[in-house]
Amino acid sequence: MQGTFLMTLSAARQTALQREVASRFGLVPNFFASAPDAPEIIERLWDFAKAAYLDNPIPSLFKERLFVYLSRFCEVRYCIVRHCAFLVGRGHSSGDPTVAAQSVGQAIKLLKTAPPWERDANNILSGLEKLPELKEWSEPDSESEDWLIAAATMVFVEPRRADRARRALRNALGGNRYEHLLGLLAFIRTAHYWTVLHPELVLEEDALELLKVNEQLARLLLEDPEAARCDMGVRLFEELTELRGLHEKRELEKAKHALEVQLQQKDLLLKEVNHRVKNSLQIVTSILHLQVPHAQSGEAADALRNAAARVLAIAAVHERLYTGDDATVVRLDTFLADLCQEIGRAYGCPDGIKSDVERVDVPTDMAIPLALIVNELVTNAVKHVGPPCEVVLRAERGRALKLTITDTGQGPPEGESRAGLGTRIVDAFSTQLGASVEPKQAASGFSVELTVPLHAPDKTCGS
Amino acid sequence: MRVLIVEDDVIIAMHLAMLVAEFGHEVVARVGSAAEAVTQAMALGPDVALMDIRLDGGSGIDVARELHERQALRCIFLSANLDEPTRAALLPYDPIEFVGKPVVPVVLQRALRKAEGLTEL
Repeated sequence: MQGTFLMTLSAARQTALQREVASRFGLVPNFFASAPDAPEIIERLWDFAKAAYLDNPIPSLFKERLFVYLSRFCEVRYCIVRHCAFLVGRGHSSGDPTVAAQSVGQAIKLLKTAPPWERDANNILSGLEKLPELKEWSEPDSESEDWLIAAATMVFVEPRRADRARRALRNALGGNRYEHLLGLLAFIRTAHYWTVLHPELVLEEDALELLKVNEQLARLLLEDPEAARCDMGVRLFEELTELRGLHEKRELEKAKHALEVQLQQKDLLLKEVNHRVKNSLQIVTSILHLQVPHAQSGEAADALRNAAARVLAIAAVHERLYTGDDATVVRLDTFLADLCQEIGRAYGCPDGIKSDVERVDVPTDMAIPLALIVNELVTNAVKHVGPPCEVVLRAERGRALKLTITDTGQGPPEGESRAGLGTRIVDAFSTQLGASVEPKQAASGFSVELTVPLHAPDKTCGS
Repeated sequence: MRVLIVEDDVIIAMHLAMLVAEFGHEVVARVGSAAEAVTQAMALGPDVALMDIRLDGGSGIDVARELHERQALRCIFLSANLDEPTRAALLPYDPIEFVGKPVVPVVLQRALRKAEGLTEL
């Protein structure tokens, strides 16, 4: 019983509302017949329509023309068709029966006006900015009406980017009329949104008939590219995408920059470490060399000289490192030549050691053992046999290095050869390099021949 | 030759002095800073400076420029970092030679011989 009573009441309210709507528009748009389950909402919507649209003091024709134009930017076509119908005399524009109907041609001209972002926005806005405050509202189709509609469109579609348009409108209209204009924009936005939320809204008979008899108008109204492109959501989405793109680009730039800085820092750090390693090795060799003259016995001096020479052989490899393009290889020819000359200098026979070394680059972990082996064998030859001594190094078809050290002696005496540290160093590093060691005795002298494989050396060293 | 040694590490400076003497030259002074290097060079007028590029309180590059401009004194540069940019930066001051650290004595000897050849001209 009660349900029926409520329904009856609700139906009565609806009827009262529709009567009022009809009295203003000359017909009842389906918009105000929507949401039958909550007529109180439609009542409030109607109140809003009256306050911001129908009873808004802005001239009725301008309000209707603006409603039509702004409805281009709504994906749902209900509003644009309905208001276009009002404009051409099917119902009353802005609920005002005194407004003369516009021709279909006038409506088409309005609809064909390009949106402001396809025009010179600066021209439009500076036009408005230079205008003295309007005494009378602009005539339809006048230049200032065009500017007002264009500026209102900027505010309507992209409110957050329309500061200048807002200022220009306020300048041309004065505060009061400006706020009424914003009120109208707010209602139009609400109306659009309401139609988006109510896809069941259908066009009225009179509007459908208008479309039927005016094919060009129908096409303009129903196939407007701005409907989708300039829908608030789409524009917002595009804006967000653009912003995100910009953000990502900025992040990418930032990451790239950070990486570059990191690489530079790494490079600097590496240089610093190298510098320190080399300097420390320099200090070690310097200390050993400085100590030699202070040795108490010949044996002690000899031991210090040996130690200094061994350290120098290692240090000399480091001196060669990181000076060229490749920090992991050492060029052997100049390096071994200097090393041999240094041994000769240290043992008082500066021209006693001849070296003939092919230009070949070897990895650092091969250069240090080679340097130590050469140091031991050459020092041994100079000390025990005396100059001349010859060092020859050849790269054999890129697969092995052949190192030959020849002196004029008879080779080590039987028995005691295994005892010295020098010999143990040669053996150990030969094993580490996977090298074969071949002593050879000839009439002209004694030689040691090392064959060192260049690739995949046997790392199972005996040490 | 009269040699000025500019090296801020005392041990290395002592070793260099020992080597220079061993090679038959006179060490006029051992200094460890950029400022001292300039003062001593002005006061003692050496034939050549053995110059460490990285010094306490300044770069050997700046010292080299000053010595070059004031006295046309040329240097043998010593450094643990002789990369291309460093060499290029020193080129305007007519370097006699670059000697890498750790120093192989015979290489220093060669550089001093080269300096001797140049100062005799």
